[in-house]
Amino acid sequence: MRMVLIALAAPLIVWVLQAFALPISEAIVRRWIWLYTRGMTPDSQSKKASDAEAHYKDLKQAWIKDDGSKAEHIALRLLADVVRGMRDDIAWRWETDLAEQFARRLRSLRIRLHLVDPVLVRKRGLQVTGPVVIAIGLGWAITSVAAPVMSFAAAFGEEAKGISTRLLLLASARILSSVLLLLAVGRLFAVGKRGAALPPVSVAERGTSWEQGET
Amino acid sequence: MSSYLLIPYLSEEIGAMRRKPGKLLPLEINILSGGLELQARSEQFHGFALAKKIGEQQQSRTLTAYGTLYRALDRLAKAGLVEAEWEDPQIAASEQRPRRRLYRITLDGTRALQQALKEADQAAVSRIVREGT
Repeated sequence: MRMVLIALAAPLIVWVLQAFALPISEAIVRRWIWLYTRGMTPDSQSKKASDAEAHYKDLKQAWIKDDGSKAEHIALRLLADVVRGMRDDIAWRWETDLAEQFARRLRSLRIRLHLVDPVLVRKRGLQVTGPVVIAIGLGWAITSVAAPVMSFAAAFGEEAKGISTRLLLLASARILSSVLLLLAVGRLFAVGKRGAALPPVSVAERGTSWEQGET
Repeated sequence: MSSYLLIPYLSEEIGAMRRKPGKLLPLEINILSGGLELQARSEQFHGFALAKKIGEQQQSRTLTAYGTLYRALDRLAKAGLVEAEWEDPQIAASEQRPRRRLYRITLDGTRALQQALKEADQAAVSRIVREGT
């Protein structure tokens, strides 16, 4: 009975795949274009979408005309083309304006941190400097290591006296990662202190042009 | 890590590659040579025609991916080796398709291609000489 049902359903499944594979893959392509152009001006976004649509329309027609490809094959080839180009789509977006946006956001974050600093100094007498940040972070690191050790002790009682090498390794990795993270945060704070004096960064300045030898 | 350090790092991570000033990548050479061939027939060409031309030149059934091709075209346009403009909307409407971006190889582009081909020839000759000795 079950086999009969599968045999009856198989042509229906194939038909559904044939009928919907192409619209689904086209929708995926459109969604991907929307995703990597997100945040651009509506004009740039619609132009990129139009450009891509025109390209893929030509591509589909060529496949049908030259190879006589079926809808489901076209759908797969379309998706394969998008996947092959994804890395470059992302890089294109990065080169277009994301690099500049990222620099702008980081600058504004630095300015915000710079604003927080005098408030802390005035109210708490605490200056947010590199060593202070590292001290706070070390506290965090120690507590984060203490938590698994305590839970281990709670679970095994007396047996927990000899902490396993595995746990030690885990703890060392956590300390190392915490210190690295803190150094990065400390550096950000340090940069934040002189952030206002720094000149703005643009994509052009960092030399992405062909003449400057970087792509 | 400051943005000054982070941005070039991320850019390289995402896929940009360093090269000598004025040096063209193989894909860019293909674009310029394919584009010039297309330009000999009509004044401008669009991306799909170019992808097809490159495919023919390389005798490959798989065309250059959309993202790869248009990123390279964008880079060449920024460098002034290619000029790009949007197609007249009326033409696109009459053919019932979305608007295309039309490209044209500039004089600088032609020169850059000639230079790249010359360098490639010289490199090939010196390689043959080196292998022969």
